[in-house]
Amino acid sequence: MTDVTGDPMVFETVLDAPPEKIWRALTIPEYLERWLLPLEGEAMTFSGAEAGLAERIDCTLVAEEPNRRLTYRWRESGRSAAEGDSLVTFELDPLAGEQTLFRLTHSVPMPAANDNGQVPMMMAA
Amino acid sequence: MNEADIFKVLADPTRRAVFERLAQGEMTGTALREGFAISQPALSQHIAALRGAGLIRERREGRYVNYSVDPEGLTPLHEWLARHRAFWPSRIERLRNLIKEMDQ
Repeated sequence: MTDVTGDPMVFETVLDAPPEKIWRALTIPEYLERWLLPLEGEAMTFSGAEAGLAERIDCTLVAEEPNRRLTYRWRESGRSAAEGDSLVTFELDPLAGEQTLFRLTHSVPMPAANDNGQVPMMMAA
Repeated sequence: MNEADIFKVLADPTRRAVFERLAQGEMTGTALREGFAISQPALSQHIAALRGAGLIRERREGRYVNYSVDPEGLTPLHEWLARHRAFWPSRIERLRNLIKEMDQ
């Protein structure tokens, strides 16, 4: 059996701040703009071109458990866009000494994600 | 073909199963149909869609046609993954710097 899509994208690191502070950086547009991508106009639309991604990326909050877990639907449009939606999930686990185990998971784009963020799973071949 | 076309084609469960079956190795249409409760015309349609998306290829051998996965077929998807695999680590470093600058 071969894997059609390769490994899911998962990144994990320890950050020197409690989850509450990181949560703000993940949810407040003014902070998101400072680390993620430039905002394009109103709401949570980012410009990805300079970073080598799709021209426009619309992020919509689909699930949250404050200070612990957050999922955005990642919808690309314009040049270099994947037509399907993908999901970006942040997980924050508090550690001793005001630190946080930070985990980011980005699913592969799939068509027909609904607004609950339910994306059909790509099965391993 | 881009990753969206690939996903559209693979979004059909039967078609994905056909593709996954072929990922095990080259086989004839007859061998491929074994185990699937679908008609020959239906299978032909799925094969045509997979070929159209560049995911599988065919090789004629006398009166038989052999089907196999096209190794290039998933390249756009792998490129999407490569772009984002390169993107996120640099962003996480920016996040690390930002939280140093933020008020509590």
